[in-house]
Amino acid sequence: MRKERVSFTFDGVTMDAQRGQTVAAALLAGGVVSWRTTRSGGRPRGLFCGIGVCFDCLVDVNDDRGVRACLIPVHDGDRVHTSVSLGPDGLTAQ
Amino acid sequence: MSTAITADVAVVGAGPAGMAAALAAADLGCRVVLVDAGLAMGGQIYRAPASGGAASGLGAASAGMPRRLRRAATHPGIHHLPGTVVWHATVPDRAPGTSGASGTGGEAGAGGEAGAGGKAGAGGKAGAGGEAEAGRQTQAGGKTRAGEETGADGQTEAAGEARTREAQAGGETPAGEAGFVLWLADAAGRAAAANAGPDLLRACAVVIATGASEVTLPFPGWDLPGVTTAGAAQALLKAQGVVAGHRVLVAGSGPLLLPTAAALTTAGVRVRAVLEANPAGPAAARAALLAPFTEKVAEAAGYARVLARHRVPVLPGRAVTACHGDGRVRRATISRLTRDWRPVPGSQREVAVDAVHASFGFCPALELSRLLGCADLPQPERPAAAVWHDEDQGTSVPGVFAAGETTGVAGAEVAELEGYIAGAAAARSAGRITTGPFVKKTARVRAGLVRARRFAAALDGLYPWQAGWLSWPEPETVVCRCEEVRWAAIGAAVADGARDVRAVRGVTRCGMGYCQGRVCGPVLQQAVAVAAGRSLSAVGDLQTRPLLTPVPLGEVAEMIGPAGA
Repeated sequence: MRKERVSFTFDGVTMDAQRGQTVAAALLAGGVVSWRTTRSGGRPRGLFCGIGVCFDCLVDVNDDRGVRACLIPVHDGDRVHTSVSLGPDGLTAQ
Repeated sequence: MSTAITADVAVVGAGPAGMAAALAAADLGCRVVLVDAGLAMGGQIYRAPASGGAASGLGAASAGMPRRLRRAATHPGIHHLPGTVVWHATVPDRAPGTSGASGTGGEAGAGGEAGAGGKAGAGGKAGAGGEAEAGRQTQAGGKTRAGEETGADGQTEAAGEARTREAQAGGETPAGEAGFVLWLADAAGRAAAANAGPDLLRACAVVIATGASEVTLPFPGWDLPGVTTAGAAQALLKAQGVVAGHRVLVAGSGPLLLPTAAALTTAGVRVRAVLEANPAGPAAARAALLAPFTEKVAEAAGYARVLARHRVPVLPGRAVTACHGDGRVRRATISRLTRDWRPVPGSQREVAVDAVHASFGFCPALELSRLLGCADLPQPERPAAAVWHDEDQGTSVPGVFAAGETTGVAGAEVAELEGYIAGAAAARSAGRITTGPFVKKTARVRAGLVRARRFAAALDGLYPWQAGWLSWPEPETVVCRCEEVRWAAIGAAVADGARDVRAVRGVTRCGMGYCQGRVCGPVLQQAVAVAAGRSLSAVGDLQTRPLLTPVPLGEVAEMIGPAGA
């Protein structure tokens, strides 16, 4: 039987989540409210629309940069990173 | 590496409209592919807990999906593609009006053509001039033949010619009549190679059931973490069993506020107040219009009871007009509003919060309909158009149907009923049903739809947008969250001579970021209209263009291989 909790890291810190939860839900449940800063103003961003429309919640997961945390389920062993900036080539949100 | 899938009917969106459309078409013998960004059917309204609701139980019982829709999950004629988005789409390379002529019988073909021909004409008229014309031009996309045949009387000849051309076209037109092509990716924007699903969907007919997105009006601090839409709070709670804050305000305008606040309260969140921007007086008068809809009144009363039991004040004529905090929202300013939503001087007070959930209604999602060339239906007094459709949910593009919130925000019941009609009409367009049975099949649904639309219209009238919100943002308030365009830049662009929304976008980059104006578009439209002293329709909207959702450039390059050559 599959276990109900999964384990992932956020900026190197181990966190856990319920299996099937999105990255955004897992971070919020763990008390993290922002996981990106904006390109020009450096303003913190977290969950806003919650349904994949606004792209505020972009986050890096493993090798994928700029994925929508509100849509992507978190998996056991995922390495989730703050998208400090999507960088010079980072205009390509995924 | 490219994998294609073919359907009689492609349905995009698996909320109530899309599920109903899929069921109607599949019940009529169609092979249906139901594409949806979510992992489970139900859309934004019927959300199942992502993990079976085992742990917290928060919101686990709230899915509430009617049994008649649940059938979609197990119907053998419905192939569900979860976690999948359409990022590009093309219409058939043939004349409009031939999608019913699939060679399965003269009657079916004739019925389909007559209906489709009528639609194209009506679309041009009802779509009010420029927009409908633009739609048709997009659809024709340089194929002059399509343009010629729109005006042609000889439908049968046209159909025959189109079939011949298709046979000659070879690689350009896929097998059979499945001439619509939808490009698919997963939620992260990866095409088939990564998501193990098909990356191309070909279909004879398309049902657009892509729903709507929530509108939030900007105020200072609205981009602080912890400030979310009300829909986000609902989605988090219902699907994830998580809350964004424990001391919150629910603010805005519209029927979403009460259920959101009630659900959060039930989950143990301390909702400090529900703030409805519109005043109580006129609302009470108009609420009489809703009285005949007893089941809806009872639903609203249920939410009100939950809030009353927990002593959550519901305050009309008030709004959150600023949020404060360093790195996340800590305090919110509540203002009393005049009737046109201007803050009453001296009425401000601050309350401590760790989240604010704001919602000012919804805008139809028009990305796919516009890409396919479907004419808009302007909505007077609203900074958002809907998809124009006829009484069979047919759009101005033959073979393309629309149902649910894309045709005008009217709630789940209207969406579902429109879905049944759209699905049956798509089945007719695909040649699976003739007009006689189609009319019989949809008669009962139409009767229900009349009543449901009457309710939706009455409800909608209770929550007008008032222009006084334009005084909430400060010059430094970010309006476009993606490109960090400040409020002052909008007025400056208009003062410098930008007279419509697209010109302001060009000058400021407002609406040019990741979300492509889905969040700031309606806000920008009203701001520009007021600043320029013009009407909403005169300043236009952002008219977002392809791609429908961001994908890596590599995927765009790939498409030239599998289908674009």
